[in-house]
Amino acid sequence: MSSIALTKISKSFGKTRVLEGIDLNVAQGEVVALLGPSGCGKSTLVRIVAGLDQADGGEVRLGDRLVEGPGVHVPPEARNLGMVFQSYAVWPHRTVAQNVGYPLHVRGTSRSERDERIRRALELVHLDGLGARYPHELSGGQQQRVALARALVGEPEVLLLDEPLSNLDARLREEMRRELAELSARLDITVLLVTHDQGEALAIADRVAVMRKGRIAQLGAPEDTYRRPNSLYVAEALGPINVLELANIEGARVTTRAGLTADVASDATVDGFVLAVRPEWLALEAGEGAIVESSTFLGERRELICKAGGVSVRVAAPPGVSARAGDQVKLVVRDAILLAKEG
Amino acid sequence: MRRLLPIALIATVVLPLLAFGLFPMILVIARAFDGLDALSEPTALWTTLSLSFGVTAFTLLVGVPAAFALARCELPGQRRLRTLLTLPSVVPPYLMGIAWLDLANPRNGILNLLGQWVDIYTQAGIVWVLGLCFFPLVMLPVLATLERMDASLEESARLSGAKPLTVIRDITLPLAMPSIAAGAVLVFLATAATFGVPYLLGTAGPRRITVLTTAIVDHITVGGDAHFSKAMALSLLLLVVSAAATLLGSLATRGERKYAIVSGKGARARPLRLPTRTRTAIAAVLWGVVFVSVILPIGTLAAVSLLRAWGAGLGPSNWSLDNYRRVLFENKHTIPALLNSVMLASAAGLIAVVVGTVVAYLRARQPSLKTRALAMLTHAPYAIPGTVIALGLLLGWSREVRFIAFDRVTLAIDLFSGLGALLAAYVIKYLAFGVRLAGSGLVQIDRALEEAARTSGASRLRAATDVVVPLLLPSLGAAWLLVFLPTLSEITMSILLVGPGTPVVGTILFELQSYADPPSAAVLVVLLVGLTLAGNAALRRITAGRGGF
Repeated sequence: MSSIALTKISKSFGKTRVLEGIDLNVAQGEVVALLGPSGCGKSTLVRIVAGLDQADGGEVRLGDRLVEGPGVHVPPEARNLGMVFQSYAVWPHRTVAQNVGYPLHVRGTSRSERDERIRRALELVHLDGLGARYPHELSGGQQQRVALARALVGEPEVLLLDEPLSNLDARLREEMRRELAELSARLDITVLLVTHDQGEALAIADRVAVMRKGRIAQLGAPEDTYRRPNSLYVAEALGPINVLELANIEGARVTTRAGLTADVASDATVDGFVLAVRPEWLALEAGEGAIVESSTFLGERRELICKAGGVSVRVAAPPGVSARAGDQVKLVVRDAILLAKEG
Repeated sequence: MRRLLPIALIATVVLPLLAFGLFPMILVIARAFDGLDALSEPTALWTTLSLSFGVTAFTLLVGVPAAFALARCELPGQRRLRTLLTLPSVVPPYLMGIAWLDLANPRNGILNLLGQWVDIYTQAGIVWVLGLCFFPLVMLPVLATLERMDASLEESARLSGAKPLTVIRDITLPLAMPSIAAGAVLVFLATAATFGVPYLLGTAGPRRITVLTTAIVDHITVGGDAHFSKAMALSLLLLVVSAAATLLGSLATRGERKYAIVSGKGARARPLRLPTRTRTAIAAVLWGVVFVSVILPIGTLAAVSLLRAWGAGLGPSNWSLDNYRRVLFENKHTIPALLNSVMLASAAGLIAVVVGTVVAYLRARQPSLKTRALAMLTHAPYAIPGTVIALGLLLGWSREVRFIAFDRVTLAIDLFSGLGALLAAYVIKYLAFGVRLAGSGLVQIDRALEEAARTSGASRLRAATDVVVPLLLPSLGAAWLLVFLPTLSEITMSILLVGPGTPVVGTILFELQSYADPPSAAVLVVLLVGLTLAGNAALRRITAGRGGF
């Protein structure tokens, strides 16, 4: 296992600048998620780490080894990486065992050792005994596991995951998400994960890098980035959030146009800032100031849309809350953050 | 309406298919058993097999590397190369054969002017000409597969530690295997069924190399009961060879699902990173192929068609348009033949498109055993050699041959004095194009579009004409041209079926070439090549580059 160090990575396709000087260090054994909408450059970045694309400028180091830099381009097969693709890329003409064993086969590992390591890799992803099957005989989730076993079998220095779960259905995705988190912790493996699903990023990663137009907008632990985003863009990338226009600031007390108040110490101005409140940071109390417009029971919580001062506010309440459409309620802000408006 | 439709369908589609497609084949097979003594002389069979294997090997050696180079090597001038490399398969092989005869016949071929060093009248010569015509049949499907192949299949092998060439060996080639096999079978079938080139360079040449198709035609030309039966026996043999090749091919491509290599995301494979010099060298080799397979033969024909006198040099001093005047205006058969052929080819295209659409529609919207059988009936004849189809029609429906099935019905065909039989043959042979293109067009049309018309109150027929047909038109135009083009200069079936006094392009061409008048034949070939290339350009336009070459 080794670390990944990216310094000032830049890349253009034709006239489009895809990456603009990315700096990122992934410590040994750490899991970092690159999160962002399609087109933000996250896939390109991971492909540069893999050696599938060549950077225009900057350096990539795996451990102490410089693999990409001015005049240096180590081809992907010489980087000792494992990668799982969004499409799985399981070879249809090879059995599961042949797929998983390919990295060893290419290296000329002895037959007996190969068989043993294939067996262990398949065990790791819970595919024991399916080695002789062909990919078309497997479900999508199983193919995904084959791809993961193949990426891990060669004991790579670094594991790259390019949207690994996006082709799975919701239940499988949940399951694989847990397994990936568990596996990466147990194997103490360095992982760079590309995803557009904030749930995936928050659940698996030690740190999340939110990307925007070829730059890293914020890098931090999942809870920190979620709780203290440095911009509206990052706040919205990590989950739903209410954006409330300000009416008045008195010391630490902020009043929004919707009539909600919060205590947020800041040197913000009324015109340049908004109050950002995640739905679960709001509580309902008996009282007035807001009317429940809709109330949706979602199992583990109840989601309400309330109208306060002409503004729609999204609230995540405990499922037991009995508010119905038309009820008068009071909205209490338990947590909030002031963020600069975006032009 | 509900009752009329099936009856109308049976009368216009099913019955003719049975009468002109299936029934003649049964007659051929039945009659073949009278002539089994023809099989005691198996040379023709061995020659057919050795030529077919030879041409298949040739096309694999050229087609697969060419496809790979086009798909993965980022060649300079790639798009133009690609277009030009597909052209040889558009021009009928017989025309190319005529060109190579002018170029490389041992007596006075242009390449032999400086000493006799090539002889086209050999098996190798036939393999050469057919190989140069047929290699796109391998190249195109392989190219399509390589381009559709999900990039990550190869990338994950690189990340597994495989070098680029290892990836090609372990991943790319095995995944392309089904399309390589499919292309090879197509070439094998086409070679076994071809008549023009083996006749021109083999049977009509000094060594009298005989293959099954030319032996069949020879027997028919000699005439008489015994020879007719022998022709039938050889036809049966040819059918068996074709069926065996088709079967082998379907075995090879059996695991199609296993080889599903297109993912939803469909990222295209990255090209190999090659030094500029290597890429230029590869492009130069491919330009060489273009030169030998397209520019040289077609250029030769163009030059020969202008020659005042054969053998008096190739320079401009020996050029004139005399040949054109002679062939077009003095030969009183040429213009009628061109008109006949254009008319026949247009009609055949139209019928194939209409019937093809109906069959494809039924097959797509009402899947059942009946519609499947119907589709089979339209597909199968394409794999049947033209000689056999023509013989079947002769046997079943011609008055000249005395083994007429239904004398009265035959009268109707005789009214067209041979053109009717030709039309039937062309349609039967090329119907598969109509069904396949209409079918693939239909698959692309979301069923909900049609259902929306139905829920808006349109009848089934109305929904079909208002929604489906307009959306299908580009595919149908392409299908029409795909039938029109090969029919226009078809030779095999034309020679066997054409009646007295009704010349078509194929027979005129055959005559001109047989009378050893290369410049006149070249004139006609130049006109046909021009027409074919124009048609092909139109095809590309209609289908926005998806059809045509």
